[in-house]
Amino acid sequence: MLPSSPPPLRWPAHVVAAVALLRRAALTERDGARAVLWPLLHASLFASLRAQAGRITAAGQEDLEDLASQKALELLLRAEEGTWDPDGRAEHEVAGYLARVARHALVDLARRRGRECPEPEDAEAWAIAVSGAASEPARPEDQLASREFARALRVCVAALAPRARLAWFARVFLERPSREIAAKLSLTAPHVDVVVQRARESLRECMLRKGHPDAELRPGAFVEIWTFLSEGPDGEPAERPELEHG
Amino acid sequence: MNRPNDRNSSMAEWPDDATVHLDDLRCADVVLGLLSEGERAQALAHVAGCPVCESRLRAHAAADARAAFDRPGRETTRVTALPVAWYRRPVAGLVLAAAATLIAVGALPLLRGGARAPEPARELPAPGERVRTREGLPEDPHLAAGLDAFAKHDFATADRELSQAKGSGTGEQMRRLYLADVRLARGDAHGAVALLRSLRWLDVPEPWRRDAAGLLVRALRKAGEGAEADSIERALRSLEPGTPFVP
Repeated sequence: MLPSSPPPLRWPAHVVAAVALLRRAALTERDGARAVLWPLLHASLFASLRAQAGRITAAGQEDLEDLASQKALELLLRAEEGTWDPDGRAEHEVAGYLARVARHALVDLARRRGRECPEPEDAEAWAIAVSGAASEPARPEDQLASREFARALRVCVAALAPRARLAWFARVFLERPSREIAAKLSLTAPHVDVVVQRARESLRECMLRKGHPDAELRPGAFVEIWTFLSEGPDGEPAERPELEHG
Repeated sequence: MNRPNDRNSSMAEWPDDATVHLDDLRCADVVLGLLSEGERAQALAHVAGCPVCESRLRAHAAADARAAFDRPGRETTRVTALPVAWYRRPVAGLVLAAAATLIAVGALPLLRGGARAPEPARELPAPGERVRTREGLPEDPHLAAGLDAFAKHDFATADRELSQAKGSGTGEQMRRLYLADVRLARGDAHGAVALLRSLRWLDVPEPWRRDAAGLLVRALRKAGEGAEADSIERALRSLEPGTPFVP
Protein backbone atom coordinates (compact mmCIF):
# COMPACT_ATOMS: atom_id res chain seq x y z
CA MET A 1 0.00 0.00 0.00
CA LEU A 2 2.79 2.40 0.81
CA PRO A 3 4.58 3.52 -2.34
CA SER A 4 7.86 4.45 -0.68
CA SER A 5 9.51 4.26 2.72
CA PRO A 6 9.50 7.26 5.02
CA PRO A 7 12.73 8.25 6.81
CA PRO A 8 13.73 6.60 10.10
CA LEU A 9 11.96 7.61 13.28
CA ARG A 10 13.53 10.59 15.00
CA TRP A 11 12.30 10.27 18.56
CA PRO A 12 14.47 7.29 19.65
CA ALA A 13 17.69 9.28 19.17
CA HIS A 14 16.18 12.19 21.05
CA VAL A 15 15.15 9.94 23.92
CA VAL A 16 18.72 8.62 24.22
CA ALA A 17 20.13 12.14 24.20
CA ALA A 18 17.57 13.42 26.71
CA VAL A 19 18.29 10.56 29.13
CA ALA A 20 22.01 11.33 28.88
CA LEU A 21 21.25 14.97 29.59
CA LEU A 22 19.26 14.04 32.69
CA ARG A 23 21.93 11.62 33.91
CA ARG A 24 24.64 14.27 33.85
CA ALA A 25 22.48 17.15 35.04
CA ALA A 26 23.44 18.81 38.28
CA LEU A 27 20.78 19.04 40.94
CA THR A 28 19.79 22.55 39.92
CA GLU A 29 19.50 21.52 36.27
CA ARG A 30 17.35 18.46 36.78
CA ASP A 31 14.03 20.18 36.32
CA GLY A 32 15.09 21.43 32.91
CA ALA A 33 16.37 18.01 31.92
CA ARG A 34 13.15 16.36 33.09
CA ALA A 35 11.15 18.87 31.07
CA VAL A 36 13.05 17.79 27.96
CA LEU A 37 12.74 14.04 28.53
CA TRP A 38 9.13 13.98 29.72
CA PRO A 39 7.33 14.90 26.46
CA LEU A 40 9.62 12.59 24.48
CA LEU A 41 8.82 9.64 26.72
CA HIS A 42 5.14 10.46 26.86
CA ALA A 43 4.72 10.89 23.11
CA SER A 44 6.77 7.82 22.19
CA LEU A 45 4.98 5.65 24.74
CA PHE A 46 1.59 6.93 23.65
CA ALA A 47 2.53 6.12 20.05
CA SER A 48 3.73 2.65 21.01
CA LEU A 49 0.59 2.05 23.07
CA ARG A 50 -1.76 3.25 20.35
CA ALA A 51 0.04 1.24 17.69
CA GLN A 52 -0.53 -1.98 19.65
CA ALA A 53 -3.76 -1.31 21.50
CA GLY A 54 -6.09 -2.76 18.90
CA ARG A 55 -4.30 -6.08 18.99
CA ILE A 56 -4.26 -6.51 22.75
CA THR A 57 -7.26 -4.90 24.35
CA ALA A 58 -9.95 -2.35 23.76
CA ALA A 59 -8.51 0.88 25.10
CA GLY A 60 -9.83 4.37 24.66
CA GLN A 61 -7.89 7.58 24.29
CA GLU A 62 -8.06 8.29 28.00
CA ASP A 63 -6.84 4.80 28.89
CA LEU A 64 -3.86 5.22 26.59
CA GLU A 65 -3.09 8.66 27.97
CA ASP A 66 -3.24 7.29 31.53
CA LEU A 67 -0.87 4.46 30.63
CA ALA A 68 1.49 6.80 28.79
CA SER A 69 1.68 9.13 31.80
CA GLN A 70 2.16 6.23 34.21
CA LYS A 71 4.87 4.52 32.20
CA ALA A 72 6.59 7.78 31.26
CA LEU A 73 6.88 8.66 34.92
CA GLU A 74 8.28 5.23 35.75
CA LEU A 75 10.87 5.49 33.00
CA LEU A 76 11.74 9.05 33.95
CA LEU A 77 12.46 7.95 37.49
CA ARG A 78 14.39 4.90 36.34
CA ALA A 79 16.46 7.06 34.01
CA GLU A 80 17.18 9.48 36.81
CA GLU A 81 18.15 6.69 39.15
CA GLY A 82 20.31 5.01 36.55
CA THR A 83 18.34 1.77 36.37
CA TRP A 84 17.42 2.50 32.76
CA ASP A 85 20.09 3.94 30.52
CA PRO A 86 19.67 3.56 26.75
CA ASP A 87 23.08 5.09 26.05
CA GLY A 88 24.85 3.16 23.31
CA ARG A 89 21.70 1.41 22.18
CA ALA A 90 20.68 1.50 18.55
CA GLU A 91 17.58 3.51 17.73
CA HIS A 92 15.59 0.41 16.84
CA GLU A 93 16.51 -1.10 20.20
CA VAL A 94 15.23 1.98 22.04
CA ALA A 95 12.02 1.95 20.02
CA GLY A 96 11.71 -1.79 20.64
CA TYR A 97 12.19 -1.39 24.36
CA LEU A 98 9.49 1.26 24.58
CA ALA A 99 7.22 -0.92 22.47
CA ARG A 100 7.70 -3.76 25.00
CA VAL A 101 6.98 -1.44 27.91
CA ALA A 102 3.83 -0.36 26.12
CA ARG A 103 2.81 -3.92 25.34
CA HIS A 104 3.23 -5.02 28.95
CA ALA A 105 1.17 -2.05 30.08
CA LEU A 106 -1.60 -3.00 27.68
CA VAL A 107 -1.51 -6.62 28.75
CA ASP A 108 -1.76 -5.52 32.39
CA LEU A 109 -4.70 -3.33 31.49
CA ALA A 110 -6.38 -6.22 29.72
CA ARG A 111 -5.82 -8.50 32.72
CA ARG A 112 -7.22 -5.95 35.11
CA ARG A 113 -10.30 -5.77 32.97
CA GLY A 114 -10.43 -9.50 32.68
CA ARG A 115 -10.32 -9.75 28.96
CA GLU A 116 -7.71 -9.82 26.27
CA CYS A 117 -8.19 -9.87 22.51
CA PRO A 118 -6.99 -13.07 20.84
CA GLU A 119 -3.88 -12.80 18.72
CA PRO A 120 -4.85 -12.00 15.13
CA GLU A 121 -4.42 -14.79 12.63
CA ASP A 122 -3.40 -12.44 9.89
CA ALA A 123 -1.06 -9.73 11.16
CA GLU A 124 -1.05 -7.89 7.85
CA ALA A 125 -4.83 -7.57 7.82
CA TRP A 126 -4.67 -6.21 11.34
CA ALA A 127 -2.07 -3.67 10.36
CA ILE A 128 -4.29 -2.43 7.55
CA ALA A 129 -7.35 -2.35 9.76
CA VAL A 130 -5.54 -0.48 12.50
CA SER A 131 -3.83 1.97 10.14
CA GLY A 132 -7.02 2.61 8.20
CA ALA A 133 -4.95 2.62 5.03
CA ALA A 134 -7.77 1.15 3.02
CA SER A 135 -10.02 4.17 3.43
CA GLU A 136 -11.53 5.71 0.35
CA PRO A 137 -9.94 8.97 -0.85
CA ALA A 138 -12.19 12.04 -0.74
CA ARG A 139 -13.68 13.40 -3.96
CA PRO A 140 -11.94 16.50 -5.41
CA GLU A 141 -14.98 18.74 -4.89
CA ASP A 142 -15.21 17.62 -1.25
CA GLN A 143 -11.52 18.30 -0.78
CA LEU A 144 -11.94 21.79 -2.21
CA ALA A 145 -14.90 22.52 0.06
CA SER A 146 -12.96 21.24 3.06
CA ARG A 147 -9.97 23.44 2.23
CA GLU A 148 -12.19 26.52 1.91
CA PHE A 149 -13.84 25.70 5.21
CA ALA A 150 -10.50 25.23 6.94
CA ARG A 151 -9.11 28.52 5.63
CA ALA A 152 -12.21 30.44 6.66
CA LEU A 153 -12.07 28.85 10.09
CA ARG A 154 -8.43 29.83 10.45
CA VAL A 155 -9.28 33.47 9.72
CA CYS A 156 -12.10 33.37 12.27
CA VAL A 157 -9.94 31.67 14.89
CA ALA A 158 -7.21 34.26 14.36
CA ALA A 159 -9.73 36.95 15.31
CA LEU A 160 -10.30 35.39 18.74
CA ALA A 161 -8.36 36.50 21.79
CA PRO A 162 -5.31 34.24 22.32
CA ARG A 163 -6.72 32.69 25.49
CA ALA A 164 -10.11 32.01 23.92
CA ARG A 165 -8.37 30.53 20.88
CA LEU A 166 -6.39 28.07 22.96
CA ALA A 167 -9.31 27.15 25.20
CA TRP A 168 -11.64 26.55 22.25
CA PHE A 169 -9.05 24.45 20.38
CA ALA A 170 -8.23 22.36 23.44
CA ARG A 171 -11.91 21.68 24.05
CA VAL A 172 -13.20 21.19 20.50
CA PHE A 173 -10.31 19.46 18.77
CA LEU A 174 -8.35 17.90 21.60
CA GLU A 175 -11.36 17.19 23.83
CA ARG A 176 -9.44 18.20 26.94
CA PRO A 177 -11.35 18.49 30.23
CA SER A 178 -11.93 21.92 31.74
CA ARG A 179 -9.51 21.29 34.63
CA GLU A 180 -6.63 20.70 32.23
CA ILE A 181 -7.42 23.76 30.16
CA ALA A 182 -7.85 25.77 33.32
CA ALA A 183 -4.43 24.72 34.58
CA LYS A 184 -2.78 25.59 31.29
CA LEU A 185 -4.40 29.01 31.05
CA SER A 186 -4.39 29.84 34.77
CA LEU A 187 -8.18 30.04 34.90
CA THR A 188 -10.81 28.28 36.94
CA ALA A 189 -12.71 25.42 35.31
CA PRO A 190 -16.07 27.28 35.22
CA HIS A 191 -14.32 30.24 33.63
CA VAL A 192 -12.96 27.94 30.93
CA ASP A 193 -16.48 26.79 30.10
CA VAL A 194 -17.62 30.39 29.70
CA VAL A 195 -14.62 31.28 27.52
CA VAL A 196 -15.18 28.27 25.29
CA GLN A 197 -18.88 28.96 24.93
CA ARG A 198 -18.24 32.57 23.94
CA ALA A 199 -15.59 31.45 21.46
CA ARG A 200 -18.04 29.01 19.91
CA GLU A 201 -20.63 31.74 19.46
CA SER A 202 -18.10 34.12 18.02
CA LEU A 203 -16.84 31.52 15.54
CA ARG A 204 -20.36 30.54 14.51
CA GLU A 205 -21.16 34.14 13.64
CA CYS A 206 -17.85 34.62 11.83
CA MET A 207 -18.27 31.43 9.77
CA LEU A 208 -21.83 32.40 8.92
CA ARG A 209 -20.60 35.71 7.55
CA LYS A 210 -18.11 33.79 5.42
CA GLY A 211 -20.80 31.58 3.96
CA HIS A 212 -20.31 28.50 6.12
CA PRO A 213 -23.54 28.04 8.06
CA ASP A 214 -22.82 24.39 8.83
CA ALA A 215 -21.22 24.17 12.27
CA GLU A 216 -19.83 20.68 11.66
CA LEU A 217 -16.04 20.55 11.37
CA ARG A 218 -14.71 19.27 8.08
CA PRO A 219 -11.63 17.15 7.35
CA GLY A 220 -8.48 19.24 7.24
CA ALA A 221 -9.74 21.77 9.76
CA PHE A 222 -7.74 20.25 12.59
CA VAL A 223 -4.43 20.38 10.72
CA GLU A 224 -5.09 23.95 9.56
CA ILE A 225 -5.80 25.23 13.06
CA TRP A 226 -3.21 23.06 14.81
CA THR A 227 -0.51 24.33 12.46
CA PHE A 228 -1.67 27.88 13.02
CA LEU A 229 -1.59 27.53 16.81
CA SER A 230 1.72 25.65 16.77
CA GLU A 231 3.32 28.76 15.35
CA GLY A 232 4.11 31.70 17.52
CA PRO A 233 2.95 35.22 16.75
CA ASP A 234 5.70 35.65 14.14
CA GLY A 235 5.26 32.27 12.52
CA GLU A 236 7.92 30.68 14.71
CA PRO A 237 7.25 27.29 16.31
CA ALA A 238 5.62 27.51 19.72
CA GLU A 239 7.93 27.06 22.69
CA ARG A 240 8.89 23.53 23.73
CA PRO A 241 11.75 22.50 26.02
CA GLU A 242 14.74 21.61 23.90
CA LEU A 243 17.89 19.61 24.25
CA GLU A 244 20.98 21.72 24.45
CA HIS A 245 23.71 21.19 21.94
CA GLY A 246 26.86 19.53 23.11
CA MET B 1 22.01 8.89 14.12
CA ASN B 2 20.63 12.38 13.77
CA ARG B 3 21.92 15.00 16.09
CA PRO B 4 19.26 16.00 18.54
CA ASN B 5 17.80 19.40 17.80
CA ASP B 6 19.16 19.38 14.29
CA ARG B 7 15.87 19.16 12.49
CA ASN B 8 17.34 19.47 9.02
CA SER B 9 19.86 16.67 9.23
CA SER B 10 17.65 13.76 8.22
CA MET B 11 19.47 10.72 6.91
CA ALA B 12 16.69 10.17 4.43
CA GLU B 13 14.21 12.73 3.23
CA TRP B 14 10.51 12.29 3.66
CA PRO B 15 9.23 10.70 0.45
CA ASP B 16 8.03 13.23 -2.08
CA ASP B 17 4.70 11.50 -2.16
CA ALA B 18 1.60 12.69 -0.37
CA THR B 19 0.07 9.19 -0.24
CA VAL B 20 2.32 7.94 2.56
CA HIS B 21 0.13 7.46 5.60
CA LEU B 22 1.27 8.72 8.96
CA ASP B 23 1.38 5.84 11.42
CA ASP B 24 1.37 6.25 15.19
CA LEU B 25 5.14 6.18 15.60
CA ARG B 26 5.59 8.92 13.02
CA CYS B 27 2.82 10.98 14.57
CA ALA B 28 5.07 11.17 17.64
CA ASP B 29 7.80 12.75 15.51
CA VAL B 30 5.28 15.27 14.18
CA VAL B 31 3.82 16.35 17.53
CA LEU B 32 7.29 16.52 19.07
CA GLY B 33 8.41 18.82 16.27
CA LEU B 34 11.29 16.57 15.23
CA LEU B 35 10.80 16.79 11.47
CA SER B 36 12.45 19.36 9.23
CA GLU B 37 10.19 22.08 7.86
CA GLY B 38 9.98 20.36 4.50
CA GLU B 39 9.17 16.97 5.98
CA ARG B 40 6.60 18.47 8.29
CA ALA B 41 4.93 20.33 5.43
CA GLN B 42 4.75 17.14 3.37
CA ALA B 43 3.41 15.10 6.23
CA LEU B 44 0.76 17.71 7.09
CA ALA B 45 -0.20 18.09 3.44
CA HIS B 46 -1.05 14.41 3.44
CA VAL B 47 -2.86 14.58 6.76
CA ALA B 48 -5.01 17.49 5.58
CA GLY B 49 -6.47 15.26 2.88
CA CYS B 50 -6.59 11.99 4.80
CA PRO B 51 -9.30 11.88 7.48
CA VAL B 52 -7.87 8.71 9.03
CA CYS B 53 -4.39 10.20 9.46
CA GLU B 54 -5.93 13.46 10.68
CA SER B 55 -7.87 11.60 13.32
CA ARG B 56 -4.72 9.78 14.37
CA LEU B 57 -2.63 12.94 14.56
CA ARG B 58 -5.39 14.60 16.53
CA ALA B 59 -5.23 11.81 19.10
CA HIS B 60 -1.49 12.35 19.42
CA ALA B 61 -1.89 16.11 19.76
CA ALA B 62 -4.43 15.49 22.52
CA ALA B 63 -2.01 13.16 24.31
CA ASP B 64 0.70 15.81 23.99
CA ALA B 65 -1.63 18.25 25.77
CA ARG B 66 -2.16 15.66 28.50
CA ALA B 67 1.61 15.24 28.81
CA ALA B 68 1.96 18.95 29.44
CA PHE B 69 -0.66 18.70 32.18
CA ASP B 70 0.93 15.65 33.81
CA ARG B 71 4.54 16.81 33.53
CA PRO B 72 6.31 16.33 36.86
CA GLY B 73 7.20 19.67 38.35
CA ARG B 74 5.30 21.80 35.89
CA GLU B 75 4.95 25.34 37.16
CA THR B 76 1.28 25.89 36.45
CA THR B 77 -0.88 25.71 39.54
CA ARG B 78 -3.07 22.67 39.50
CA VAL B 79 -6.61 23.50 40.41
CA THR B 80 -7.76 20.00 41.30
CA ALA B 81 -6.20 17.25 43.41
CA LEU B 82 -3.91 14.53 42.10
CA PRO B 83 -5.02 12.74 38.95
CA VAL B 84 -7.03 9.85 40.25
CA ALA B 85 -6.26 7.44 37.46
CA TRP B 86 -2.63 7.01 38.46
CA TYR B 87 -3.61 5.55 41.76
CA ARG B 88 -6.90 3.86 41.12
CA ARG B 89 -6.00 1.65 38.25
CA PRO B 90 -3.08 -0.37 39.56
CA VAL B 91 -4.52 -0.76 43.00
CA ALA B 92 -5.73 -4.35 42.86
CA GLY B 93 -2.37 -5.78 41.83
CA LEU B 94 -0.46 -3.65 44.25
CA VAL B 95 -2.10 -4.99 47.33
CA LEU B 96 -0.95 -8.47 46.32
CA ALA B 97 2.54 -7.21 45.53
CA ALA B 98 2.73 -5.53 48.92
CA ALA B 99 2.27 -8.83 50.72
CA ALA B 100 5.31 -10.35 49.04
CA THR B 101 8.01 -8.11 50.42
CA LEU B 102 6.43 -6.24 53.27
CA ILE B 103 9.18 -4.49 55.13
CA ALA B 104 9.15 -4.55 58.86
CA VAL B 105 10.59 -1.16 59.55
CA GLY B 106 10.74 -1.69 63.27
CA ALA B 107 9.53 1.19 65.31
CA LEU B 108 11.19 3.90 63.35
CA PRO B 109 9.23 7.06 63.17
CA LEU B 110 10.31 7.46 59.59
CA LEU B 111 8.20 10.28 58.44
CA ARG B 112 6.13 11.07 61.46
CA GLY B 113 4.83 14.44 60.56
CA GLY B 114 3.59 16.88 63.14
CA ALA B 115 6.24 16.79 65.87
CA ARG B 116 9.26 17.52 63.75
CA ALA B 117 10.61 20.42 61.86
CA PRO B 118 9.90 20.16 58.14
CA GLU B 119 13.59 19.93 57.27
CA PRO B 120 16.17 18.58 57.59
CA ALA B 121 15.14 14.98 57.68
CA ARG B 122 14.11 13.03 60.74
CA GLU B 123 15.90 10.65 63.04
CA LEU B 124 16.34 7.04 62.13
CA PRO B 125 17.29 4.01 64.15
CA ALA B 126 20.80 2.67 64.01
CA PRO B 127 21.95 0.86 60.87
CA GLY B 128 21.25 -2.83 60.74
CA GLU B 129 18.24 -2.70 63.02
CA ARG B 130 15.65 -1.19 60.89
CA VAL B 131 15.11 -2.84 57.56
CA ARG B 132 14.43 -6.53 57.29
CA THR B 133 12.36 -8.26 54.74
CA ARG B 134 9.67 -10.62 55.90
CA GLU B 135 11.68 -13.50 54.47
CA GLY B 136 14.70 -12.46 56.51
CA LEU B 137 16.73 -11.62 53.43
CA PRO B 138 19.58 -9.20 53.91
CA GLU B 139 18.81 -5.69 52.87
CA ASP B 140 20.30 -4.12 49.78
CA PRO B 141 23.70 -2.63 50.75
CA HIS B 142 22.85 0.56 48.87
CA LEU B 143 19.66 0.84 50.86
CA ALA B 144 21.55 0.37 54.13
CA ALA B 145 24.19 2.90 53.10
CA GLY B 146 21.52 5.33 51.98
CA LEU B 147 19.66 5.07 55.27
CA ASP B 148 22.89 5.47 57.21
CA ALA B 149 23.66 8.62 55.31
CA PHE B 150 20.10 9.80 55.76
CA ALA B 151 20.37 9.37 59.52
CA LYS B 152 23.58 11.41 59.48
CA HIS B 153 21.95 14.11 57.38
CA ASP B 154 24.48 13.38 54.63
CA PHE B 155 21.89 13.94 51.94
CA ALA B 156 24.25 13.88 48.97
CA THR B 157 25.36 10.34 49.86
CA ALA B 158 21.83 9.33 50.76
CA ASP B 159 20.61 10.58 47.40
CA ARG B 160 23.27 8.60 45.55
CA GLU B 161 22.87 5.38 47.51
CA LEU B 162 19.10 5.36 47.62
CA SER B 163 19.04 6.08 43.91
CA GLN B 164 21.10 2.97 43.28
CA ALA B 165 19.25 0.72 45.71
CA LYS B 166 16.91 -1.84 44.26
CA GLY B 167 13.66 -2.88 45.82
CA SER B 168 10.32 -4.38 45.09
CA GLY B 169 6.84 -4.18 46.50
CA THR B 170 6.60 -2.27 49.75
CA GLY B 171 10.38 -2.02 50.03
CA GLU B 172 10.54 -0.13 46.78
CA GLN B 173 7.81 2.25 47.89
CA MET B 174 9.64 2.94 51.16
CA ARG B 175 12.87 3.55 49.25
CA ARG B 176 11.08 6.10 47.10
CA LEU B 177 9.64 7.70 50.18
CA TYR B 178 13.07 8.11 51.79
CA LEU B 179 14.53 9.33 48.53
CA ALA B 180 11.76 11.89 48.14
CA ASP B 181 12.52 13.19 51.61
CA VAL B 182 16.19 13.44 50.70
CA ARG B 183 15.41 15.26 47.48
CA LEU B 184 13.20 17.73 49.31
CA ALA B 185 15.87 18.28 51.93
CA ARG B 186 18.34 19.02 49.12
CA GLY B 187 16.00 21.60 47.62
CA ASP B 188 14.81 19.46 44.72
CA ALA B 189 11.10 19.87 45.38
CA HIS B 190 10.08 18.87 41.86
CA GLY B 191 12.11 15.68 42.15
CA ALA B 192 10.45 14.90 45.47
CA VAL B 193 7.01 15.50 43.98
CA ALA B 194 7.78 13.25 41.02
CA LEU B 195 8.89 10.45 43.34
CA LEU B 196 5.89 10.80 45.61
CA ARG B 197 3.52 10.85 42.66
CA SER B 198 5.06 7.59 41.51
CA LEU B 199 4.30 5.91 44.86
CA ARG B 200 1.96 3.01 44.90
CA TRP B 201 0.21 4.37 47.89
CA LEU B 202 -1.54 1.22 49.00
CA ASP B 203 1.85 -0.49 49.21
CA VAL B 204 2.95 2.05 51.81
CA PRO B 205 1.87 0.83 55.22
CA GLU B 206 0.19 3.15 57.66
CA PRO B 207 1.13 5.33 59.42
CA TRP B 208 3.84 6.09 56.85
CA ARG B 209 1.28 6.50 54.11
CA ARG B 210 -0.29 9.41 55.90
CA ASP B 211 3.13 10.86 56.64
CA ALA B 212 4.04 10.48 53.00
CA ALA B 213 0.97 12.54 52.18
CA GLY B 214 2.27 15.21 54.55
CA LEU B 215 5.62 15.09 52.79
CA LEU B 216 3.82 15.47 49.46
CA VAL B 217 2.05 18.54 50.79
CA ARG B 218 5.36 20.14 51.76
CA ALA B 219 7.01 19.21 48.48
CA LEU B 220 4.08 20.60 46.48
CA ARG B 221 4.25 23.86 48.42
CA LYS B 222 7.95 24.19 47.70
CA ALA B 223 7.32 23.33 44.06
CA GLY B 224 4.84 26.18 43.84
CA GLU B 225 1.76 24.00 43.58
CA GLY B 226 0.01 25.46 46.58
CA ALA B 227 -3.54 24.79 45.44
CA GLU B 228 -2.94 21.07 45.22
CA ALA B 229 -1.08 21.08 48.53
CA ASP B 230 -4.04 22.83 50.17
CA SER B 231 -6.43 20.33 48.65
CA ILE B 232 -4.53 17.33 50.05
CA GLU B 233 -4.03 18.99 53.41
CA ARG B 234 -7.74 19.68 53.73
CA ALA B 235 -8.47 16.05 52.94
CA LEU B 236 -5.93 14.91 55.54
CA ARG B 237 -7.44 17.12 58.24
CA SER B 238 -10.98 16.00 57.52
CA LEU B 239 -10.21 12.31 58.03
CA GLU B 240 -10.58 10.54 61.32
CA PRO B 241 -7.33 9.06 62.69
CA GLY B 242 -6.87 5.56 61.38
CA THR B 243 -8.85 6.15 58.21
CA PRO B 244 -6.88 4.88 55.21
CA PHE B 245 -5.77 7.80 53.09
CA VAL B 246 -4.61 7.93 49.50
CA PRO B 247 -4.03 11.38 47.97
